[in-house]
Formats: sequence, structure tokens, C-alpha cells
Amino acid sequence: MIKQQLHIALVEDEINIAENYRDALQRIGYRVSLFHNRQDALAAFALALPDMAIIDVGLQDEYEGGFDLCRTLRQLSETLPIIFLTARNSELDEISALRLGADDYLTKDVSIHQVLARVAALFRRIQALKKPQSADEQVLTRGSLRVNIERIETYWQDQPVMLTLTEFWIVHTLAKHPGQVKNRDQLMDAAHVVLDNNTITTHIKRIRKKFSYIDAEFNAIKTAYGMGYRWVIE
Amino acid sequence: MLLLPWAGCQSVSILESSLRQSHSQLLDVQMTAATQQLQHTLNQSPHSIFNTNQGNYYAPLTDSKMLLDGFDGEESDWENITTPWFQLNSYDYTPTLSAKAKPATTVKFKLAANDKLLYIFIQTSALTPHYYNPMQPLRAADQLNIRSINNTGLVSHWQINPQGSGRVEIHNTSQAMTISRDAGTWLWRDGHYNIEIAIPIDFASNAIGFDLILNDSQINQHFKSKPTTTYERTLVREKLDLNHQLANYLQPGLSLYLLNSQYWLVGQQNADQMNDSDNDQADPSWFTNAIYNKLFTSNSLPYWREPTSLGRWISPQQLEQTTWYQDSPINKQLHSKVINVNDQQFYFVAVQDSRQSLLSASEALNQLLILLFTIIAVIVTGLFAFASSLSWRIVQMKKNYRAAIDSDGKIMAVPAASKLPDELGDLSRVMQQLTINQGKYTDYLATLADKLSHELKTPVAVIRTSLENLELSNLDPDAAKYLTRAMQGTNRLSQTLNALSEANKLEQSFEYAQWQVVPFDDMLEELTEAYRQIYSSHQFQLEYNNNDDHTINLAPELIVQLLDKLISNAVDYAPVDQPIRFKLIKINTHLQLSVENQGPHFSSNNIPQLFDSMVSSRQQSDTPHLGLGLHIVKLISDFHRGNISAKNLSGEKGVIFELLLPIDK
Repeated sequence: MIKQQLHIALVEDEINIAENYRDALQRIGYRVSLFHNRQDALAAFALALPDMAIIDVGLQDEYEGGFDLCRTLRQLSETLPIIFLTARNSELDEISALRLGADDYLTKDVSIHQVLARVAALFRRIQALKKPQSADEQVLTRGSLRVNIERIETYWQDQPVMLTLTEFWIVHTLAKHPGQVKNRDQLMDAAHVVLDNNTITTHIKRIRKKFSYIDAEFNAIKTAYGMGYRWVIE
Repeated sequence: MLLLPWAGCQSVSILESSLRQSHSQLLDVQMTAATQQLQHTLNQSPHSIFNTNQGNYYAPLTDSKMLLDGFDGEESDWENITTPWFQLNSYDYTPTLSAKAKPATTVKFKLAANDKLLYIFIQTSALTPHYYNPMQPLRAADQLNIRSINNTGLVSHWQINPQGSGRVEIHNTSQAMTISRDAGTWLWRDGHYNIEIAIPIDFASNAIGFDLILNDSQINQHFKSKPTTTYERTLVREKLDLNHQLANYLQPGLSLYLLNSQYWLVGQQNADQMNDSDNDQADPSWFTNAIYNKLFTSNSLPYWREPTSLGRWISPQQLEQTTWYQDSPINKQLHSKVINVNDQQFYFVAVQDSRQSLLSASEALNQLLILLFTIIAVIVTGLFAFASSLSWRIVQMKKNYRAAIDSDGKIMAVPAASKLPDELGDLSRVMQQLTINQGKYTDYLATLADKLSHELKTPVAVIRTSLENLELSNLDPDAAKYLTRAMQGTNRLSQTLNALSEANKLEQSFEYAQWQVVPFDDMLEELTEAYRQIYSSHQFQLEYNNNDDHTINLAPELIVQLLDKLISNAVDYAPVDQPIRFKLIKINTHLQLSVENQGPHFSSNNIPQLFDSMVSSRQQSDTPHLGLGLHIVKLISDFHRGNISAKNLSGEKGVIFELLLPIDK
């Protein structure tokens, strides 16, 4: 590897899965440390923070050990990218995770390729943020919306909208061709995820909510019943 | 509770017997006093010499002057007099040869007396009259001779020689100078003699005898009281002065009788004569009497019978003891005393109705009965109210539980348990516990799929990540083939697990569901257009009435999900050449959407279970199918408080789903 090896901490109590992911991540050049419980991970993080943490929610005896760990990590570092990788697919868990400041929430039934893609995307975003802003950045502007693809940032009325990666790609796909209906499959492809219909609906709902925190009148995402969603510029 | 009236009855019973006893004693005391007075009176009385010879005659007291008209039938003076018939016997000493040829003549008579006259009524059997003809005085004629003795011992002879049917004279032949006087009537009527006469009682107060000479079947046939020449017999009379005497002792309900040694009634006072008006007063309490008799009249008591007949006591064995009788509606007691006057026995008998004694005391019984019935009524009312409340509670409980469990057996809400500490309360608590347990079990079953999928996900993830790592390492083509198969299997398993938890996830998402008022017809237009694009091989039709307002409040995303499931189900079965039809109708406060396709019928026996989880009537297919689709439809429909039903169309094939949604929330 030419560039300096990025260090990923994988906190996962299921050893087989942990090692499988480690192998896959190592194969493409990341340095991976495995931890099987919260205490071990915390002890190691106290010495040195990794470049990214991938955490399971349930850690051995601790049903929500991953959430606790995430909370602690956020205190240690505001910018450390955190991905939850868990067997739990309840909406509540996902919302909790994102609220705690996790950057993404993946269920274990996504393929390893997707996990790798998400990890890569997240690193790219971090690096983009570290880079000074330049004029040639790819910026998509649609009315009040501004999407920075390099830095994976979204602004509405010049205020940042804190979207997860999945949400970012959904907004990007919709806003790229305003007025055009994007069905669920297209949105899933764009977000590099395989999710059931219900999850797309949930994402859309959450995106709307995040925008409406900034602008209560937000109504740019329209539902085309049975077909999908479209971005409308008012 | 029923012991109360029983105890009451027992106490009244005891009260009654003690009352009886005391009453007998009281009567005894009263009678003893009366007896002494009577004895005194009888001793001093001019009638105190009584002949005790056997076979005496009896004359009851008649209170009126009688009309001597020769009639004794209905509406005559004799009608109200109870007096026996006495026979006069034929004492001829020469046997009659013709006696058999002709029926023997019989003669009978009866007597009555007041303080002036002795009334005599003689009746013969059919005969031919032979009247006295003054022109032929020696010719045999019918004749009546009477011999009487008064209490001074004076013997009188009386004779009647009838000269025809009609009024007759009587001759006192005993005196020096024969005195004739009007005696009464001698009638020959309907073939027999009716002789009704009267003689002064002062001449016959002690004894009387008859000698009737008839000439019908035999010349000078004598019908006599006795065969001897002194043929008189003792006359026993009911005497007015004795009656008056007895009246002194009379009380309400008390009948007094004075009998001679032959048990003839020489004096009497009947309670009924005095107390006719009392019967009317007793009427209002007949009910109490009836109850009283039902409860307290002992069946062991002999029945009361009228003690006298035709002036004579019927059963002498009753006397000299105190006996209780049952009579309707009251009991009677009979008490008697023996009076000895000049070595002759008299029986002084008292018969007392217990009506006046016991029943007047039974005012207490009345009170008791009223009290008892009041208590019983209160208790019965109380019990009835208690039973009603129990039944009401049971009905309430039934209603609660019926309301708590919906038609699918799902527990909507656990009814509150009773806090009362009785058996029904226990039952209610047990039922509640049972319901809670059943609810938990149902919940467990509902979440089982979710838990199962969650538990299976980790091992599946292990397998898949391993396979994916394997894929990344260089394998020879043979191994890659198997790897691909393993990956396919794992993916399918993964999908199955997602489907398993989908229903649960859906129910979670209800919490975040967004309600929106939307025009349902426009929404359906968009949807059918979308389905046409997605399922291009099938045709879709939408029907609704443009004039109707189809605005409805619903969670659009959930309804879309519901329709997705219905359509994905429909396209699996429906033939491509026939359209899948949507029909939207407004029914009052509801909108009904029906989705119809020409697919094969549901097997009729599992239609109600179509919407249950894990029920599928499909053949095995490539894609995993858990029968969750229609279950999700049902969940969303329930969430909208709607109703989803499925049925077969008439004809050989075709099925229809009907979704009924309320417009307002």
C-alpha cells in the first residue's frame, strides 16, 4: 500500500464474523484491530484512536454496549467516523444509533462489498473535509439545496443538513434530476444498499424531518404513490 | 331461613296446646260452678222427679204456638222441630188370619211441647176410616184414647171420637164431669189419618200414653204405647226454664246441653243462636283461619259431628271426658259433667268452639305470621337482589371478555378484574390472569418470528461473510460453482429472515405513521399507472364515480404497502389476458376499495385464515414465501380501523378482496 495504512477498529463479539470482516478489510489494505467487548475497545482507544470504528450494538452481555461505546467515542472525538454493523434491523435501533452521532448504520445482511464501499466512502468524505475548499469541487445547487459531492455535505438555505451517507445519496439522486420520479430500486442503487421498501420509506421520512428542522415549510420531496419519489423545485 | 316459620309454627303449636289445656281447665271450672247451680235448681225444681223407666217419650221445646191443621210437611210448624217418631204397636192377642193378605197397619206419632201445650201428631198407614156415628153409637168406630199423668200424680184420660175428617173435640173422661174441648184436627188424607192435637201440658207433664183403636183390617185393633191398661210412658221434655237457666252460663262459642240419664236433651243452649253475627266478623280472617288450620289442626283429632239427633245424644261414650274435635274452620272441645239429682243422672255437656278462645289469642299468631312473612319477604328480596347482582356481574364479565377479544382471537385490552373478595371476584381475577397469560403467549408467538430471524441472522452473517471472503480468494472453477450455489442459498435464507421480521417491523413503523387527508381516487390513479409500469404483462382497470368525493384520512405509505401486497398476490395468480380491477365506492362514512382478479378460487375452507401469519395456499415456488403478505395487509387494514375480506367470485374462477376504510378519524 502506497498511502499510510488506515486503522479501523472492529468491535464485534461474534469472532467468526469479526475475522471475516477483518480479512476482507485487510485484503484491500486497511489495518484492522479486533475487539470483542466494550472494555477491551475502550482500553485500546484510550491509548490511541483508530481512523474509523465499526461497532456492533450488542456486545457480549451488554445489550446496548455498542451504543455506550459510540457515546464514549463521540466524547473522545467529534470527527471519528463510526459505523454500526449489527444484526438488528429495528427502526428504533437505527434512529438511536444515528442520534448518538454514528455516521452510518448497516445491517449484517448487506454484503461485504457494500460494507467495503461504505467504508471507502466515509474515508473519502473525511479526507475531503480535511482538504481545503477549492473551486473545482462538485457542487449541485437546486434552489435552496446545495450538495457538495466531494465533501458529502448537504446545505438547505445555507445551513448544513446532517444526513447519513445513505440519506445523502438518496437526496443526491433525487435532486440531480428534479421532477423525475425515482423508484425505490433506483434509490437503493444510488445509496449502494439493498433495503426493503419499508426502509426506503423510513429514510425518506427521516430526510424530510431533518430538512424540516431547518425549514418547517420544506416540501421538496414529493411522493409518487406506488412509483417512488421526486424532487420538486418551488 | 325456612327454620323461622317452622320455629314459629312450633311455638304456636305449643302455645295452642297449652292454651287448649288451660281452656279445658277454665271450662271445667266454669262448668263445675254451673253444675252446682244446676243441681241446686234441679233439686228445687218441681220437675225434679223424673221417671227413669225405659222407653220414655220425648218432646222437644217448640217456641211457637202451633197451628193444629193436620199437616207436618214442609212449611208446617213441625218443619223446624227435630223430634223422633215413636211407634204405637198393635197388641191384639188373637192372631189375625188375614194379616198376611192385607199389609199391617202401622201408627207412629211425634211430640213437641211448650210451657202450655203438648202437641201430638199421629200418622197412620193407609186405611179405611171408620168414623163415629152418633146415630149408630154401637157401631165400631176409630177412637183415640190418651192417658196422661202430671207431676202431681194426677192421671187424666182423654178421648177423641172423630165424626169425620176435620176438626175434632177431645173429652177429658177422667173428671167427674166430662169436659170437651177443641183438640185439633183429625184428617183422612191420601188414604191415611193425620191427627194433630194438643192437650194442656199441666195434665201430661210427667207421662203420656196412647191407645188408638182402628177398625180397618180388624175390628177394634188397639195401637198402644204399652199393652197394659196403664199404658202411659214417661215423658221427657226439653224445658224452657232449664234453657233459660243454661243461658246464664252461655259464652260466645259455647254450646250447652243438659241430658237426662237416657241422653234425652232436656235443655240446650246453642252458641250459634246467640252469635250469628259473629260469623260475619270472622269472615275477614278466614285466610288466617285457613292458615291456622293448615298449620295447627292436628290430624289426629277426630272430626266433629253434630252431637244430637232428634232430641237425643248420639254417642253417649263421648260423655264424661274432655275431647277435642277438629271442625272447619276451628276446633271444638267437648266437656261434660255428671249431675246427680235424686239418684238420677244428668249429663251437663258443654261444646266450645276454639274460635273465640284460641283464635282470639291467635291475634298473636296473626302478628307472628305477618312478622314471619315480612322477614321471609325481606330475605327473599335480599337473596333475589344478591342473585341478580351475581348474574349481572357474570353478564358484565362475559361482555367485557367478549369485547376484549376480537374475532381473530386477538386480545384488544385486558378487562379490569373485580376487587371483590368472593368467588366471582376470584373467577374474574383468574380470568384476567388467564387473559394476560394468553396475551403474553400471543405476543410471544407474534414476536417469535422476529426473534427467530434475529437469532438466525448472526449465523447467516457468519456464513455469508465467510463465503464472500472465499469468493475473494482465488478458487478453481469447480469450487467457484459450489460457492455460487452456497451464496444463492444464503441470500435466499437472508431474504426469508427479512420477511419474517417484516410484520414486526411494520407494527413498529405504525408508531411513526403519518396521517394525511388525500383524495383516494387520485392516489389510486397514480398507483394503477405505477402498477401498469411495474407489471407490464398485466392489465389494470380502475373504476370510481367521478361525482363522489373520495377524500379520506389515511397513512398513504401504509396503504400503498397494503396495495403492493394485494397486487403482488394478484399478479401471481391472475391470468395475463384479463385485467385486475380496482373499484372504489363510497358507502356512507366509508370508502370501499375492491380488488378483483380472475385467478383461481381460494379453497373455501381456509378463507378466514388467509390473513393469518404463516398461512399460504401457494404451491412451492422459487421465491421464499411465508404467507406474510396478506398478514401485512390485515395489519395495515386493522391499523386504519378498516376491514379486509376475501371471497370467491361466483363462477368457476375469480377472487375479490374488499377493503373497507372509515373516512373520518
